[in-house]
Amino acid sequence: MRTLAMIIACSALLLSGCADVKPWDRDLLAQKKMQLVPAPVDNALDEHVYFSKEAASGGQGVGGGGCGCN
Amino acid sequence: MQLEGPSCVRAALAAASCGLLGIASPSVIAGAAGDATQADTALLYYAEHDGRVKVSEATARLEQPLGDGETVTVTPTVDVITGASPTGATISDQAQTFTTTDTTPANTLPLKSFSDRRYAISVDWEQPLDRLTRSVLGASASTEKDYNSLGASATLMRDFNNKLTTLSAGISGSLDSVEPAGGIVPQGLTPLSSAYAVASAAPAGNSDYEYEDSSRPHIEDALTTPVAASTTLVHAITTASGAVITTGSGGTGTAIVNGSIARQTKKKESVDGMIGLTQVVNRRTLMQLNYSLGVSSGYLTDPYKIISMINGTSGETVDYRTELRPDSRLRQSVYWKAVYHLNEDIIHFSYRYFWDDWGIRSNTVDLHYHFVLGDDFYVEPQFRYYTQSAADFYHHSLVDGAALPRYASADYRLAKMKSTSYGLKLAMAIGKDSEVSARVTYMKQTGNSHPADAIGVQRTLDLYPGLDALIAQLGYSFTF
Repeated sequence: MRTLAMIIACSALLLSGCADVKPWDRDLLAQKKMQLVPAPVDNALDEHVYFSKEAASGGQGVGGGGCGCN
Repeated sequence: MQLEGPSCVRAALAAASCGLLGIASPSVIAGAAGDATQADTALLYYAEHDGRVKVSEATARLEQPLGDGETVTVTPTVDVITGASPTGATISDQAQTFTTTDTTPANTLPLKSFSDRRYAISVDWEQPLDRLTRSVLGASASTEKDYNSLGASATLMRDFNNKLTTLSAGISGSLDSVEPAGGIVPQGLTPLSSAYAVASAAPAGNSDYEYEDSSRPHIEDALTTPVAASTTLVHAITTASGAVITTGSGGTGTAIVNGSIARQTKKKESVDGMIGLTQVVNRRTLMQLNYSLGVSSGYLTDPYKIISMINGTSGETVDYRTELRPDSRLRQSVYWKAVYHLNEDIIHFSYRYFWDDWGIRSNTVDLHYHFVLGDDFYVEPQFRYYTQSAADFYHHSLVDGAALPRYASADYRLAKMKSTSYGLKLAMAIGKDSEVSARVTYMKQTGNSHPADAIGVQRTLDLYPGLDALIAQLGYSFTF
């Protein structure tokens, strides 16, 4: 429950102070380099390395392949 | 691929909510280019110091728009893995003999050589369900000599607030199986002399028979095929595949008669769920917040790892046992990411807090600075800092003769440690839709080399193996 409360609090914080960005003002956001994951292959390769060498993993999303490396 | 001009509203909207799933979410922007296939390919070479693990990896991410906002993304990957990794046995001031053919000199970290190939593929299908809702269905499979995995995932994403806010929820499941090289799943926390012996009491015809030693109820020893015949004490075991495992001298056990037993298999299941929120904060800032919860159950032990048994006074190694981990794990994480657009350059920053019921607590920060050097060229320094606490059952070694813990592992990846990565990526556009890139990353892990509970001679030895790795990557992206 404490975790859930923390997430809701963080979400509220995230939403507060957000500007109303009109569609015609989203040119910067439309650039590929502004994506949350602009280089998905780099990201997947990194995640694979870290998954096999560290105890913590995940967080970015669900899915992806399995590996016997950990 | 670069998009230019503010007129591409569809791409703008996509960008405002894209990437919710990280790896699992295909780029919606690419779909705006029409029906061309976007291909992102890469070759990676990973090498650890001192001749430890080397991995060569080739991957391609192929994204095909199907019209009406649908895309299918297929990602095949091949890994070739060679080298050696720490067995879990601690370094010693004496030579250490594990089998008749495997001796580690004094003051040297015991390593086990291996080689494997991994073939993996994942497929993601993204489709709009209505004007504000999208779904991604995914499937994945991978196979190695000793490990197979099948997975499936589903994610829903819904836009709110004039498409400035996107909520997502995803769930995935995987079924994995472990078939240790050599064919035998060792008994956990058992001296090497008997850990690979196989119970002869398996009832005929019961392929799912689970053998349990009443004196240690959580022993890990399942047979996929009953043993057809048995003899007494062995020092070497010949499996159905013809491989010979030398189990050391002494001890009692049951032999496997050549050809009488199939490779043993252990199962592992995982279910993961995630809820996420992505928010356009202003014209230059995008943020994401995810909460993830995952459960793994089944065989979570590493069948190749062992742990040194130490004399409680001198600190000298007197024996080795196999490791044993709990058969379930509950993982949670909170992940926050911010992307900020400067005049030309972009900053990507993320933070993850991870915790689980094995006692691991981890913090990760990751920073990428996308430095634009003209229309066709960019440089991206990358920095990552990671810390973790030790698993409750991590021990660098166990005291011989003392009561055994219920679980124990000396896997350095479960120890308290820090990892720092420094990377640099150079990328250049070639024409309108192609890009070549090169990336180099240096990763260094450090841990507690001289823990307070070291005994005797251990105080003079480095009890954490550490890791230095160099990762080089070449990438080529194009459309066709």
